[in-house]
This record gives sequence, C-alpha cells and structure tokens, in this order.
Amino acid sequence: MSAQQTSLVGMKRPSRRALRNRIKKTVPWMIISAFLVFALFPVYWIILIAFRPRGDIFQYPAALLPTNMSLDNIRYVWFGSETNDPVIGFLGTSLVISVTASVIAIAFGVCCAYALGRFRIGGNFLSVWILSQRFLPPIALVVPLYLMFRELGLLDTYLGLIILYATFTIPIVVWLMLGYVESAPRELEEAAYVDGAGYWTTFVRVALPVLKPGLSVAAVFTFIFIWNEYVLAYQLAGDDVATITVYLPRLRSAIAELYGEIAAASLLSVLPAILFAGMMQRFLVRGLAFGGLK
Amino acid sequence: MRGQTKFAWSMAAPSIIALIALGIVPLVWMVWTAFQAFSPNPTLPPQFIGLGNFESLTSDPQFLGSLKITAIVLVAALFLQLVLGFILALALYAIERGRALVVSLLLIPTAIAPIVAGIVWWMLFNARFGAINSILLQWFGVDPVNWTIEMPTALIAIVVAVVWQWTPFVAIILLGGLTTIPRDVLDAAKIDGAPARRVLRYIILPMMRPFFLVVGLLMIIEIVRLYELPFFITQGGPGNETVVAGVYLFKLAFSFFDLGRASMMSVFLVISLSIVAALYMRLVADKKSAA
Repeated sequence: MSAQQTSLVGMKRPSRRALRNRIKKTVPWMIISAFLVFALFPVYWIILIAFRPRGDIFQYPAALLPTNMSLDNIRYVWFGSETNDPVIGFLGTSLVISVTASVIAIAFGVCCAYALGRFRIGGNFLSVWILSQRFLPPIALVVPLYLMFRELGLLDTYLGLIILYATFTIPIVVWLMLGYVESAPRELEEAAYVDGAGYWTTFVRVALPVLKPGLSVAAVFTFIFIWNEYVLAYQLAGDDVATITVYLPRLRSAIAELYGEIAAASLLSVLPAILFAGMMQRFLVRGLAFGGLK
Repeated sequence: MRGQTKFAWSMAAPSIIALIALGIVPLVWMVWTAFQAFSPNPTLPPQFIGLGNFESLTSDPQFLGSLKITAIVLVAALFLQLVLGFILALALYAIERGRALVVSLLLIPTAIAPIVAGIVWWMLFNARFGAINSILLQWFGVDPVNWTIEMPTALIAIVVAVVWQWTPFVAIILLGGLTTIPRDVLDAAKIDGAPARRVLRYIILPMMRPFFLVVGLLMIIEIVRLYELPFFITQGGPGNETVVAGVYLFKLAFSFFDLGRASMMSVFLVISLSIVAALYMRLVADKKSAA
C-alpha cells in the first residue's frame, strides 16, 4: 500500500489512459468478488453451523465467525440420536437411485441421440418432442404419477423412483448428446461400414469412444438432477425408500428444531454438488449448453 | 437403407417408449382426472363433473392469489437475475486469468439442491439465530427483522433465495453468449472511437438478444415450478401470502386430497408452460435460420 503511494507521489500525474486501464482491471474483480461473497456466504454458514456446538447456535445475535468447534452435530447425524435417524441410510438410498437411474438414462439417451443425430429418424418433430419433455416440470405431473403409481403398486419402491428418474433425465441426455453426435466426424463410421462392420458394432466400437467426453458431462448433469430432486422423492416414496432430500425436512419437524443437525446433514448432502460444480463449468462456459444455440 | 432406418428406430425406441409411458400417459390421465371429483375417501370412486373443477378453481381466491404471488416473484426475480447476471457476465468476460476457478465457485448455488437452498436461507433469515439479522445489528445497528413471518419481507426472502440460486447460472449462459461475439467487431468499434456505452447498446445487446430470451424462458419455467424454497423458507406464510403456484398445487393434492382440482391446476400450468416452450423453440429456430 505504502509502496504504491510513494510511487504515485514520485510519478507525474498518471495519464488518463493508464488510469482507465487500472479501472478496467479492478472493476470486474470488484464485481466478481461481491458476487462470490453472495454466492458462497450461505455455504460458509452451513459449514459454520454444522461445526458449532449446540449452546453457541442458539445465541443472539449469531456469531458471524467460528466460535468453538464441535463434531457433535456431524456425529448425531452420522450415527443417529434419539431425535433423528442416522443419515447414512438415506445417503445410500440416494446414491443407489442416482447412479442406477443415471446409468439407464445415459444408455437409453445416447442411443436415442445417435439415432436422431445420425439417421434423422422422425424428422424435426421427434427431436423437438423429446427435447420439449424437459419443459414438463415434475411438479405438474406429480398428481397423475401418484395415481398411476398407486394403481401399479410402485409407490415407495426403488423400482418406481429409478424408472421415473431415468425417464425424466433422458431428455437432458439427448439434449446434451445431440451436439456431440452432430459434431463427431462421420468418416470413421463410414470407413467401418466399408470394412463390413454392422450398425451396432460401428456404434459401440467407433462412435461411442468419440462421444465419451459428452457422456461424462451427461453423467454429471443427470446425477446432480436426481440427487437434488425432492418433490417426486417425497410424494411418490419417502417412507421405506427415503432419499437424502426427504431426510432433511424431517429434522425440522422433530420436537426441537435441530439446527446443528440440519446444517450437518445439509453439508453432507451438498458435497457431491460442490465437487461436480467444477466439472459443470467447463461445459457451460463453452456455450454448448444450448444444443440449438451454439 | 431400410436396415439403417430399422436400426435407428430400434435405438430410439427404449427412450420413446419410456417417455410415452411416463410423460404422455400421465398427461392424458391428468386431463381425465381434471374432469373428475375425488372424494377424500380413496375407496369411493371419482365422479365425472365436466368443467366443474375449472369453475371452482377460477372462483377460488387462493388459486388466483397463488398465481398473483407467482407473478410477483417471477417479475422481481427475473428482472434481478437478468440485470445482475449480465453485469456478472460482463465482469467475467473482462477478466483473463482465474475465470475457470471463479466460474466453478459461482456455480455452487445452482448445483445445490433446492431443498438445501431453502434450508440454508431459512437459517440465514431466522430472526433470532440467523446471520442476516446478526449482520444488520452488528454492522449497521438495525433492529432485528422478522423476515419470514411478515410481509413484504417474507416475499423478499424468497426472491433473494431464487436470485441467489440462479443468477450465477444466468451469468454463465450469458458469458457463453458474449464469447460468440466476434472480437474484430468489438476491436473495430474501439478503433473508430465508439464509447463503451454505445458499443454495449448497439453491438453487444442486439447480439445477446437470443441468449437473454433463452435463459429468461428457462428461468420462467424454474420460477413457475418453484416449490422447495417457499416451502422451507416461509411455509407459505404469513397467512397464505407466500403460497406460490407450486405450493398451492401441493396443498390441493396432498393436504386437501382434492386430486381433481389439483389435476385441473396441473393442466393449467402445463398449458401455460407449453406456450412458453413453444416460444422457446420458435426463438431457437429463428436464430438458426438467421445464422
């Protein structure tokens, strides 16, 4: 700071241009810093409360900086206590459902995207119809799905949630993969046909390896979508088969509001999202997020 | 040639069948139940009542109120998301180093589950143990505010949470749009001595129009389906003043067990959102033919 000041005093008045460049460099960082504080403060707060001893949580006004550290909240949530079930089973349920449904959605979706992108079946109508399914929010369909699942005996089952999530994420996979299929070179596949390879062999051996980076992006998106979903998980399941998002609100309806436990469980539940945010950014910045808009 | 078509259809078939079974069938079922009256007793069969549910909905002040509240949240949140998102996108565009790291940190709110976002903002806005009142008191000497149990602060709390969750996403999409503007156009404007304000007005904003439209429409869909944030932050209160459309739909279906009226409301929302989706597809098509 002082070095900067002396150099400014020693210099002639900085030229207008130099000043402008200075502003040009600092203003964006000021804006970005403000947004970073806004974006990350709630995450900081979850971490803070998760590690804060119970006595300190219920003090007024709340301390904004770390006070005493305690692993009690994490321990209660992890191993369970009189007031709450252990979180591990719910995390496990979420993991099983998210992974299984993602794998199914990606397998179905990439085949569908390949058929649409390479062979143009069903013309524009079919692609638009599949992509438009993305605009049907689960919340609008939850009533008929509830009635359907009640008739079919699929309420509160792993199978029910898995087929539901797999289906609802297929349009996301198709939407993400179409761009990759269309930009992948055709020549390799044509060479394979000339060599006598069948359509399926060509798809698996030649096309799929080229689509691999797209598949990992699709996996991240579908996993996060399913992991974070609450509405269907709560209304169509939530007793025998309860995911982590169903577990969290339960802590509030307990006798006392389990602030620390809620924070600790929330922290555990957002870890995958935080890990994957880093993977998502590479894809989104490239501007590919809008299949039709590249 | 025929083998090729057959192969392609067999590749697409599983997805198409799944989407029909769990997309179209429930949709048709929903339209059917929208014309029926359900008894709270599930053993009694529903009765066909024609447009009865529609009539009772349109004369239901709570339904109309929920649409009004959704509209208020929509206008306020969308405006803030687009303006703040664009400012953030311009700032991200201007920096050269560290962009990847900043973007992955900024994306955390969007990647967090809405239910967790609801929980954390509920904790932040808590009148006694929350961070916001603590900051207001310690830094500005402001007396505690009962954020979530008074109006209009309850609505403000919801808007803040929505803006927090989605503005970084909006900014990243707009940043993607900014990077499609050819550098030489901007450089030419600079050489001609055009002031930054006019470059923004006459070059950047027109080229960004499709990106604004697309991300704006995505946000409309997100806000119309809003459920978890108000459910956790205010639980619809005070009174029913923050019961958005999604929360009221759930009340109808799973608190009142009025599945007929809930279905009619779903039909209404799906039709509204279909119009939005059709608009989106048109706009994308326009952009494609223009390019």
